[in-house]
Amino acid sequence: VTEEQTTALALLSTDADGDLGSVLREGGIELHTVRSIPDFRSALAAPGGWQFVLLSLGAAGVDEAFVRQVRDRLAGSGSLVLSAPAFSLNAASLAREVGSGDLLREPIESRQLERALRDRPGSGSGVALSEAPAPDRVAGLVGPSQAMAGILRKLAEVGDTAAPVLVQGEAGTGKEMVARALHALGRRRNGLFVPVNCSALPEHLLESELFGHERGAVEGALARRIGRIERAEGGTLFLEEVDGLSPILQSRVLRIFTEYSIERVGGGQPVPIDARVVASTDRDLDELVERGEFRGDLASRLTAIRIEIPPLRERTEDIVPLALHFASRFAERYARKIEGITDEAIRLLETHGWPGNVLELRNVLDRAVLRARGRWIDAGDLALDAGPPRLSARSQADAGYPPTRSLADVERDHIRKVLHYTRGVMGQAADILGIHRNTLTRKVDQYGLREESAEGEPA
Amino acid sequence: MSDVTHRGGGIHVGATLSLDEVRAILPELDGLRPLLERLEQVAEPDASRRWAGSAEVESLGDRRVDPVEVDRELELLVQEVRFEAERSFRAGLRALRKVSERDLEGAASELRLEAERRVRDGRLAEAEAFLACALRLTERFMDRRAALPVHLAAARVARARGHLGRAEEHYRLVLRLGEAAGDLPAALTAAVGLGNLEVDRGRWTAAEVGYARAQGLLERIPGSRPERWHLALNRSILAREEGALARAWELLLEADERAREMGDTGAAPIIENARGQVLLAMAEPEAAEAAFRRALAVAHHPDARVTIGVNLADALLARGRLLEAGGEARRAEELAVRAGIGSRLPEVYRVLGEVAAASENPEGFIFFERALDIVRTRDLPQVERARVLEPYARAERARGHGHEAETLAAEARAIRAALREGGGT
Repeated sequence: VTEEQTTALALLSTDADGDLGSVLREGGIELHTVRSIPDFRSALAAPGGWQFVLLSLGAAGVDEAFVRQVRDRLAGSGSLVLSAPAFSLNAASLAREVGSGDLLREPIESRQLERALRDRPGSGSGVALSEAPAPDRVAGLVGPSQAMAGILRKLAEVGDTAAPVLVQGEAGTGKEMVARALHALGRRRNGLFVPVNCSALPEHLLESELFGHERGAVEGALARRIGRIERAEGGTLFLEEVDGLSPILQSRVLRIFTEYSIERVGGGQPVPIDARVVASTDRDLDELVERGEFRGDLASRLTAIRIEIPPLRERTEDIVPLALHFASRFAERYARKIEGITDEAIRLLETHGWPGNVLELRNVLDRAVLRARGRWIDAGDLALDAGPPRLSARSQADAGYPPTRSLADVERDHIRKVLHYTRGVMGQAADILGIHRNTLTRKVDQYGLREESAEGEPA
Repeated sequence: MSDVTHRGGGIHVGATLSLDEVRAILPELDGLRPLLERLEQVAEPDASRRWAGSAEVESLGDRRVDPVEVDRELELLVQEVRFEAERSFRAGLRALRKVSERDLEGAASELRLEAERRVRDGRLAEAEAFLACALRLTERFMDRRAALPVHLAAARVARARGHLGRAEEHYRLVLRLGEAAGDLPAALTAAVGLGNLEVDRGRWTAAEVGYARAQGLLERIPGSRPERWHLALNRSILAREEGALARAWELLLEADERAREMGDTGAAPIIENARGQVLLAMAEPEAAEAAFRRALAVAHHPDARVTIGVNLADALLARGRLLEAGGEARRAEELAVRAGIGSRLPEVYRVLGEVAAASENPEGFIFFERALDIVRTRDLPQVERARVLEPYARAERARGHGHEAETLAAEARAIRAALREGGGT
């Protein structure tokens, strides 16, 4: 990233540092220390900016609101580090909130500060966002791999035909992007691209969404509703996760191909349909046909042309270009000044298994851009071990608790869990915990676990 | 192949079943309720479908459960049911014995305590049945003051069930009797309750009258009472609802100050949460987010954590941070399911519906449908339905479904109007 000197601005109380400046200077860190808020403000506003800003919570006038103001002012253009004369939960929580990481204890030791600054992005090397490749002009796809080149070739070959296409690939590989590309390249590009996820809705809702309904046909249907198939007239209908269609809906969808028409729910008249159908699945449709779970006649029509998207782990050369592409996009969306991704982060990205494929990568970069404490996305910002978004409480429980938690913290949580299990029955909870009821009562009060059931609580 | 299927009517083969499948297979009998509740509590999202597009709009009924797993802990479940039944039977017998000993107040108290236990378990209809019996006993009390705790409990349950008219009757009676008999704490509780009812109805002036009366009573009661900060907080909420945000902020500071003076540690999550809501109303979502995070850091009760989590998701949504907003809402969903407080899920699905709408997910409307379904099947107050219908209407309008949007909005308006006219009886 840089061989230049690291610049840091510090607003410190007189007790906060010894002779930090001279020590750090030897380590290549130029520390500019001020002692008052007005001096701090003018230094902060000076041209050139600061890579790091150190704020002492013990300095006069520095409160939570001021810390947040500074965080907002930096808005990703520099890292914020907090220090305090004494540890407190509030200060630690504020440090976490503003992304400062660990709270430095005052008086600050030079080694402590050096480590805090060195652990941050901006002190290694990496790949700049300016190296992000431009997405394919028509398809909007990103990736230099042979596999992506093959997909782009296939799109060019079949895009302009009217034939149905089945896009296959694991979840998160970007099947909808390919479907949209097919639409953009197709003859019906001036019509609408209408997606519908066949596995996302209960059957009765899916039927109504797909085929529409006449007035009074279903409960609450006060007016005729045009379904998504009809809306795709002259355009492209994208049947995502098509394997989720029930046998009844499969036979109704088949009519698009056999009779070029559909019937609205509660309607007797066929409605002519002229739309290109693109379907996708992450399952083996042929196998489903063999098992009798999917109609063979529908499958044969949907699979006239197949496009297979390989999982991201099989085209690792696409990972970095995609990561740079997403980082650029999210940096723009969130107005964050992100310059690139550090080498360490790149190594992590390249070695991760990506079970969620491009979607997972996209989500990781979305979060990383927001988490980044400096201008470079570092390994710590990726939170690859944060687990899935739907991580269950059970999985969390199995994972135990981090070794940094205090005994009191763990005890409080366990008591809360047991009380929950016993639905607040103290005797039963005390039995499970193996302690006397009076001890439990004391601990419940100590940890503030007693339920508030006052009348005056908010509505 | 079973036709008892859900998502798209597709067939799921394997050891696990979706909760929708479970509910379609088993009859809705009181005797099976503990089993169904346990199945719901242990059900999990389908990990193998985690990255599928359909997983983004999964909700309660799509969570999957392995019956064998529940079978393994069946003995424990049976013990719990036995424990519960025994406790109820003993409470019933104690009440009967007290009646036979002419201790009517003691009997009513037993029934009330049993009702309050059911309230904690979220079984409001059963609680109401116990309180109805207790209320019948109070009619034979010589000292009417002894009936006040039963009426207060009945008022709270009626309010929670959305039966606002009935709640009002109980509160008014307590207010009148409490003032007349010098039981000012009971009268104060009733006055605050009456104010809260008017907030539920959206009748701000009447709510102010209720709270002013409560304030008057509070000043007549010596000593330090939690109502000192409760009232300031409730008036802040009222001011926020009226759009008087500066006033709401002032009252919040007052509530905070009073709670600190009293050393009431339980106030922090409630006040921080209210602070976040005022900031959100002030269009300061970033500051609101910080307040909600502070509230979450100190909140322990699952109910409170779900509410704050949903509010935090709202703040993140307002900041355009859709992924984080969805993540917070999913955490609140997980907590509500695990803690067995499914009645809180409509608000979770409401915000997930809004996140999906902001993400332009065409299937996102399913969250609103699921929320409405839960309001209906769990017999939740109509105001909950209105709270879902309003954003649902906005989302449908954004999808280009103007007619559906108008129908939904009209129903929400009708519910709000009925509440303002004193509905919810």
